[in-house]
Amino acid sequence: MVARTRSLAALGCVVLVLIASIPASAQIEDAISAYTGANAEGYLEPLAQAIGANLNSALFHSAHVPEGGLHVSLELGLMAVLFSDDDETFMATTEMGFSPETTVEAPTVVGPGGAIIVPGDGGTAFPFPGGFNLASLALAAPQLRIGSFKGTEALIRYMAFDTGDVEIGDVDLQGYGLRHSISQYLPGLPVDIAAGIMYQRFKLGDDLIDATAFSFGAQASMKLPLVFATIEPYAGLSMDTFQMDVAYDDEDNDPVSVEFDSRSTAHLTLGLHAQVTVVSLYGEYNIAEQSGFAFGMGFGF
Amino acid sequence: MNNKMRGIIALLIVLGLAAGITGCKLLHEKVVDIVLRNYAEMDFETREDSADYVGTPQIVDVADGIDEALAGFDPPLERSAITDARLLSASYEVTWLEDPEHDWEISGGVWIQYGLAESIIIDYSEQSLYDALGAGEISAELNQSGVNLFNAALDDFRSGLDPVLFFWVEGDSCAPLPTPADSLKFDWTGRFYMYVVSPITLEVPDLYGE
Repeated sequence: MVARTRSLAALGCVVLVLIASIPASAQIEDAISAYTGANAEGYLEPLAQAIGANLNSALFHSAHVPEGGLHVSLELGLMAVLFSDDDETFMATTEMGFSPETTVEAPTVVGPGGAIIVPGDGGTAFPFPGGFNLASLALAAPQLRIGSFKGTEALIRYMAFDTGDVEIGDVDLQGYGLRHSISQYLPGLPVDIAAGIMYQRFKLGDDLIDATAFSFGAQASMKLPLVFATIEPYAGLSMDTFQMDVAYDDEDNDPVSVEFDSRSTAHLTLGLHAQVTVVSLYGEYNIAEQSGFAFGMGFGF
Repeated sequence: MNNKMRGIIALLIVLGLAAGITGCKLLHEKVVDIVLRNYAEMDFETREDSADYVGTPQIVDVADGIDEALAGFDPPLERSAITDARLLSASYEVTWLEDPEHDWEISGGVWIQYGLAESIIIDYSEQSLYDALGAGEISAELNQSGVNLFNAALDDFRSGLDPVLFFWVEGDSCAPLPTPADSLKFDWTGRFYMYVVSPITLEVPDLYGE
């Protein structure tokens, strides 16, 4: 009974990660409604980096792509980044005709919760809102891997739900990718090698966040059969591109649109995959502009 | 270490990672200072035949706009929760000038009254109406004693009162001098921007939060 309760608690925790992986969109919107332009971009920058890093993680856990036959695997990946001290603040500049114009260190969306108040001329003051005091940001996504045709497999990530009154905001994640076995052309190699591409689009709330991620790269892995399990260290090197738009209403209910510059980053993945019959588990560390870790599990044949 | 032991350790590492995450405390209580900004707006009509005039006072209910902003939050914020409220800036905008080709250079001030106390809050000197027309909002130079009165009203608002402020314009000089045959006629809008800070407590998902 205790074990069952723990299992249910663990399952509940995973479901919570799925539906509440980032702060409620309404709450973010409330926090940034005081901001426009460059300040809004600076405030949300760590969130953009973290979403981009998470989307481009847990895309693979092996470089082995069978040459043929039906192979299906249903997987759940949990990707997370840990924020550093540098992510907690940005240089913010006073707005709205405040005098004198002043630039100070203010909390980002992941920074400390306290507001920063800047004194001005004649007894006036300017406030910068606090952050959500986040140490990490996680994103969970189910994905389906289907192969193989001439050493090629497809990966589909999909998640869409209306959270109704939960105030998290509607979530929509779609991702499509292809991987092709390179090692099939290089017989005798001790490791498997594959190359792949992945496109993803993530939306949160009513256009609050609209992000697209693209990744292409190569992976290598080596299967080590060990008694009841197969252990497979894997590594990957990719080039990731991420772009994010944020739209919200300011305090006067005027629409504000913040377009983050498209950014590209090299991305190194180091991970370990274990497979026992139809169950696979994997954990990985991702080194990129925003480093993070991911783990996941899958059921497949 | 034999292969079997290596395999078991590797699997335990992967399983441990999974168990560690799923067994973690996911939701953490966070306190976030939310900033709400609002402004009090007043329209003035100036129709004068002389340089030194006193305009009709405009009445501003400070509580009105802020209460609306607090109520618009979900869940609504309470006045008692506000930790700070201050005047942020002020601006004025000339919206109509009877003869846009006829420039006037005016000096004077906007006065504020709260309770029995009154003070000048905005000084304007040698302001060309020709230049101001169509220039949008012009940042106003604020006077400390007037700002103190405004901030005192905001403090009283936080205490639960419904402060009412009076604003009026007093002209000091005008070039050329207005006369009954060539009177000064223009409309303008004044805005006083203020803010309130209120902490809210949220349950936020944070895998490694405290």
